[in-house]
Amino acid sequence: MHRRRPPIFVLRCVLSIVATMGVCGASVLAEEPAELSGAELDFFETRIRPVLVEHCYECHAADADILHGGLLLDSGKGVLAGGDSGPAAVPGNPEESLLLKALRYEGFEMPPDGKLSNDVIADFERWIEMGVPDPRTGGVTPQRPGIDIEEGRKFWCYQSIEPHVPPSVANAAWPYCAVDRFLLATLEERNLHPAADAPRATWLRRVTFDLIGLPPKPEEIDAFESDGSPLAHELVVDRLLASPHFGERWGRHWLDVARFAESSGGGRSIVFEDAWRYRDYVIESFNKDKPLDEFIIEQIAGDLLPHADAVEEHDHLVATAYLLLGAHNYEEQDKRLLEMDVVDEQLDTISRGLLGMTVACARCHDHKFDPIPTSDYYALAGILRSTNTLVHENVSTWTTRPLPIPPADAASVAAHEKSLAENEAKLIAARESKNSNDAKRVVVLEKRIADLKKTRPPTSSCMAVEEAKVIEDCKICIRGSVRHRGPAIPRGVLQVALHGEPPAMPADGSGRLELARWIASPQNPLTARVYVNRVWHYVFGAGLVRTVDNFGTAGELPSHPELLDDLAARFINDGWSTKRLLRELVLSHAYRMRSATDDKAAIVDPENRLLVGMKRRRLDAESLRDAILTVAGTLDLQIGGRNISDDVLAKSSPTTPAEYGFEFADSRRSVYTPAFRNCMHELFEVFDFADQNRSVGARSLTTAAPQALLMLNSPFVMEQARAAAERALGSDHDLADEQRIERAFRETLGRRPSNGELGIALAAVSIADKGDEQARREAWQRLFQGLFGCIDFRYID
Amino acid sequence: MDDCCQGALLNRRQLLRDVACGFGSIALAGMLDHGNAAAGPLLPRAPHFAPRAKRIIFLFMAGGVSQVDSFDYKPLLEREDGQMRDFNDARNVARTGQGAKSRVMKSLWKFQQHGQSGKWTSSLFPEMSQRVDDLCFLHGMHTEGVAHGPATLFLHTGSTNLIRPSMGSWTTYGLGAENDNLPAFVVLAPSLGNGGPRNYGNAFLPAVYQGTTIGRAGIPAKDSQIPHLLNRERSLASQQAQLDLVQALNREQAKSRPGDSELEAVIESYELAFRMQRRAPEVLDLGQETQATLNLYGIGASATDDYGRRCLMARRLAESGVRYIQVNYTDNSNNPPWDQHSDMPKHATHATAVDKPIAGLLTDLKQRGLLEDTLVWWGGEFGRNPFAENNGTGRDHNPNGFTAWLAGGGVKAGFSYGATDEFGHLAVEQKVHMHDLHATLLHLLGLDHKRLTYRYSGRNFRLTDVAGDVKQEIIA
Repeated sequence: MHRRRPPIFVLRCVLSIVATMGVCGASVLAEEPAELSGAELDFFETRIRPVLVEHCYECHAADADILHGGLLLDSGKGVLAGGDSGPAAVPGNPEESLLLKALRYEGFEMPPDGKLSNDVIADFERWIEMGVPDPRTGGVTPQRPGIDIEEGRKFWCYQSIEPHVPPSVANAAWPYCAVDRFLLATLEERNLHPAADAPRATWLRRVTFDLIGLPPKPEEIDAFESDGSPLAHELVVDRLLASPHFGERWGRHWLDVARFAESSGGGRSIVFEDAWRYRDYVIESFNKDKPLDEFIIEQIAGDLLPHADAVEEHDHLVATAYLLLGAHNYEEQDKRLLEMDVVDEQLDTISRGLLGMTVACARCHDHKFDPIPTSDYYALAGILRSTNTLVHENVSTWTTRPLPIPPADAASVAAHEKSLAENEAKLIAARESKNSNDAKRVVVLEKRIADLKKTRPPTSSCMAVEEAKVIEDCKICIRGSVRHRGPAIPRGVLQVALHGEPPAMPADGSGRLELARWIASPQNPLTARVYVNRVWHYVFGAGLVRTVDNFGTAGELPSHPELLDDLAARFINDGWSTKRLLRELVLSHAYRMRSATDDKAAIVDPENRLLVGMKRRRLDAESLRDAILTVAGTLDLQIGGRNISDDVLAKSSPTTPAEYGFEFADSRRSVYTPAFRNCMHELFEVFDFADQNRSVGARSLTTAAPQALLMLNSPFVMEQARAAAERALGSDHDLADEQRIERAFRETLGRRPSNGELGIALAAVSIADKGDEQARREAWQRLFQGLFGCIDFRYID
Repeated sequence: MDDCCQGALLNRRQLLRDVACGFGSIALAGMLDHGNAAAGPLLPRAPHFAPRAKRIIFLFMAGGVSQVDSFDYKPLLEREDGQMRDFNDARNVARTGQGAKSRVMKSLWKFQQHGQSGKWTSSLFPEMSQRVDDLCFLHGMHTEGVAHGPATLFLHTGSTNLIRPSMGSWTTYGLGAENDNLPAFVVLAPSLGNGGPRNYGNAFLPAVYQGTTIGRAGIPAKDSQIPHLLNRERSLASQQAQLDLVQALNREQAKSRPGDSELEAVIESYELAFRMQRRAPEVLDLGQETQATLNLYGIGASATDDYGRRCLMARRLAESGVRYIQVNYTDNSNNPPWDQHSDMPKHATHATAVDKPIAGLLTDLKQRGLLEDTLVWWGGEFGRNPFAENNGTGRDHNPNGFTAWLAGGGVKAGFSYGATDEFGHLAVEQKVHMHDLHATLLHLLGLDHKRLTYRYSGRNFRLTDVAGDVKQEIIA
């Protein structure tokens, strides 16, 4: 058997036992009150009972509307057993009795309406000294249902991940890969048939947006439509997977899950000037197809990993910004509360983002739906509490660490430092010398040293964590309160998801590396499943488990459990490669289907959970903006690097941070658009950009009037439509309007116009006076703005 | 111009009526009346029980107004002025767990009694003092968060740090909209500071429940507008042509998928946008008001013009059926206006800016009968200390005892509830925690704060977390 922590309800009983000084077994508590003397009885009846009845029973009796704090004061048993915070009274020991502390308004303040008189409080002190004589027999102990972790393990998501043999299917010609066979088998069971293939141009637009987040170019559409080779699809997919824009697209998905932002947002928003380094690290990791297990370990514990060189050291440090990017109120004055809030946020991000678990619920009480006791929360919290993430001041900040010197600069930096050291040595010698010439030399040397210091190659730093000086287990915060602490819980991981031995937590380290390795382990039943399901969600529009952030009992069950398991198992075996996984998914026959489904499917499977056809999906805000800029010819494709200028940062102050008056004027890809928490690009604001305050697996999708207002009236959209019009009219003066319209449709919608659309477009660009250039440009601007605003631009079919 | 729009709209209706397939009928239902075919998330919903108020106007005083200089009269401060006394200062307690000795500082403004109710108020708010018989003072307010960010977020969302939906979002989630040509939750002149958009954000509620901003702190009220509502580059005819083109393309593209509600929703969103474009500027156009009304709000006088305009806009929005209207008095920075750490006399500047507009709003609402079902709430994220900060001439934040007031919408008028201690520092009697105030406000709107829940991330959330007590004693 593995070592297991006692669940919190056991701890409570232990506390109660200690409190009654060795009475063995909680059930024995005050079951048979000792014989009371007449004086004791009299004291209780005249001094204690009336106060309890008048001031306490409303909230602390069995017949209270709502029992507060799990504490019953309507029986002797209840007083001794106590509530969530422990026993109310310790017989003979007033100073250790919470009841007395609460009456004195120390920590708790009871009764809440106002402090009782000193005489009454003295009576209670006396009563406790007397040994809590209480004639009230009977009474109930509040129910504290425990969590049965072994029972909890039976739930599907905690079971080991096993590969499955793809089922056989009747229509053997249809599947291209294992994924297709799983899907088709389920359809055949219900007498459903997969939808027909989508037109080639539709597939190309779909896969191009999905893999690189940009629209296909008209030349690419031509080339693909005319390529009859059976390998045509694979060629496209391999080209896109190799594109440096792949990382921008898939990195952005990860940034949602990592609740990436470039300012703190909460309270006094502070700009995270170095967050871009983490963003670039993520983009590069996806471009390099860094194995996901490594990627996860680096983000949680990169600073604790060995590194081969300065480049790797740099990446490992930058990766840990993952733990620091939360939306915090750094000005919180109760720094203990701030520390626990930061830990809570980190746990929420890690547990929902990587494990699909809502661990944060267990901060205040055992999880109500999942087998996660409060002790598990504090076992994890101990690991993060033993990690430095905050620098305390009136307005606290996050930890930063210097970056290693890049190899290219190493020689010049070393030379500079050597020169500085030599001159400093000379200066000391000159100062000590009595020679008058040396007095002049001192001046010269001092100047030279000052210059050398000024011209020192700049060193950079990054948001990064470090091990805390004191490594310690975290004490339970009773009901989440930092002021009411229970026992310390040994650091550890989620018991219910533990297969094999629990990771041993080091005495001299936080345990972050052990936690990271446990999360990214092939034995972890959650990590690979959750990630593969996220990828599926991005590609097919809904996860196999649609509640992508919640695999627990309050989440949904998988539509195709064996497919999910098989994908996860193969993902692990294939070296946790995102690109291999994606390649299979986008080359599947399922991904090639049309989005429209037939009437029968609409009745049997109205939500299309079985994938009778592809789901039509809305373009995300970034793709929408990038596509507009692409059509306008204004998109700047520079990859990586900071995107908030020095000027803007120089004007930033604690009172008015850079984001408050920020103007989003650049035309780089949207992944580089400064991701401020309190000030967002106008298009992101209305088109459901991820809520940057929390880890987001599935963005919300709304259709609302502000989107239409933006498309009709925003200066950004109008400006880009004008640029697109000028571009369309500027090239090749001999083109007929029909040809220009066709090109406009192919650039915006990835296809030719229907006859109806052509008619509408021709009417829109026809002007009374053919010679009126201004009117002509305006008409074309209107056409492009119309295309930007229309349904088929906004959706991927 | 109005007629021209009306004409266009009627033509549009005609056009939609003529369209045989599904999307037209949906668009039409949204325009003619609501509660019909389009089951939108903003359709009006029945409250849990009979409401006392249909809407809320929240006058947010960012930074923390000093209660002992305004509405919470403490004669002891006069007597003990200058004495060093032990106080459990909230900031010290948060940092060190202990209080500190501080110098008692009396009010800079003189108090006297007003109205039938004989309420003691100071000369800081002379105009509001004339309306005390309409007000219900809550003197035992207390809240969470010693600094602006946490306390401001707590005021708006019930949490100092965790990501939670705002009060206005919960309200519109609970009740829906009264007018489908206007947003249901409007925020006038918000700041980006101290939580910024989170203070009117929907968090995990659907995005339709987020507040719609009009203007921003620091931008003059007369230049404030709903984002992208107006197109200053194009003529009305050109805008009409643009809309017609988009909708023609949309209908053409939706043809192959008849009855697809998602696509119909896109088409409807353009129709609604166009209606808002026509209707909202009209609501915000103060040019339709009489000079007497403008004067009532102090519009035209430089000190009061800005907040006066916002208050009058609030009345017009309330009249048009907006559910939750927040009128901010704030700056677009992290240092909010009422934050007099070192210069108490500056309170007078802010008081002058809001006093007449607020009194004007109360008078106006009352004479139009709107105060009956409109609940006005005045207050900040916390109050201020009765003692000097760092022995200087200002006061630090005080989340443990301060004053807010309510008016109209089912609360007792000319009434005071709760009390701070004899210094005006800590709430001691009939205390109202911010959670309690939230619970009570929702109650007045006909919503049970314990039943107004939303399931997210595996559990039910509510505005008041696991707390909140409806204060029946203040309900008329």
